[in-house]
Amino acid sequence: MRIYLLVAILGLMIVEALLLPRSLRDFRAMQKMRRETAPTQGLPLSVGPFAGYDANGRPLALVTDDTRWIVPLVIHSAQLSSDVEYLGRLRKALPSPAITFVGVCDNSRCGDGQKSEVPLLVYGSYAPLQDIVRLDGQGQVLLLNQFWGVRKSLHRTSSMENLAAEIQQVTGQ
Amino acid sequence: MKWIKNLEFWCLVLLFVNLATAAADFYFRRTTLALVPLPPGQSLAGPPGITLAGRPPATAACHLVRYASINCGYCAPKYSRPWDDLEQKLTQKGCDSIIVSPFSGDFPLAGNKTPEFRLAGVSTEFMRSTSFSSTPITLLVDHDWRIVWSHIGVVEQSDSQQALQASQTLAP
Repeated sequence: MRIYLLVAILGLMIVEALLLPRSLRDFRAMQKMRRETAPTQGLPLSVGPFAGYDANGRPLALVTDDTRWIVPLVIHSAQLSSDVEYLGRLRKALPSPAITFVGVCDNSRCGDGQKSEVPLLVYGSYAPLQDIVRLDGQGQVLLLNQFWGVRKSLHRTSSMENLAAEIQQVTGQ
Repeated sequence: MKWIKNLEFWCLVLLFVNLATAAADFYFRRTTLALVPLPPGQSLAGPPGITLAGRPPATAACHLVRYASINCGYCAPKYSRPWDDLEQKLTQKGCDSIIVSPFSGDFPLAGNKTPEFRLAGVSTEFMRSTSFSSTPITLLVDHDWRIVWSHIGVVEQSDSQQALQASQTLAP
């Protein structure tokens, strides 16, 4: 009886000796994959050059000679009308032509027939869209200069007035 | 008798340790597999965007999507021969070739004369569903925008073979 148990213990120890390095290797592989697939942290230096198009594929003139600041805001399809209204009120609160507001649709149907005083971008350059959407997911809005350089990230609060005040404070407009 | 009890106890402990290690390994493997980007079967939001003509690419039986840039050394024609061959073979089979670049105007130099759809802009849905983070990335997608084959990095001859093999599963 004793010999069988000794053999069983030895067998189990061998199994464990085989399993443990394998588990460690798989754990390291998992950690590596987690690091590699984690979204890029922090603020980008620039989100340009950036091309934007409306729902019909027409290019949007996002920057004019007067533009000094650009504020891209994501329009969420789940709250389409309230986001478009938010953007419209922001435009009214900061009417200076030095600030360009752009609505960035998260759905290709959102700009279709939607009335807005602000250009609604449905298609855009891949990498800039990625940064804008990633930061929107963290409740942030990018404030860019006219060359698409990132000046600051602002908090997208539910109160439009707070965001307008923040933009005003940084831009002085 | 006490010896036997002791041995039985250690057997039991080791059995539990074995089971715990095996379970941990199973968890690590599953998690790693779930983190693999762009696995076959994943659905993309298509059509991906619009071409310079302002229209989405025409519908095709399958799509070969390449995320590449002129600023990426490994996207240059000298590293792209297998890609060019793959593009030519798959377009002959009825697929279209769609080139996506990070900043829309930074398309890589074309190595051959195969017709390509170069996207001037992508939809946010497509961007979200792909989450490309490096160049070059190559995807073979079926008519319904489901990934059939994907490759991150330079397409080598063996990758091209794999893609052609995978393309045989596509419906005609």
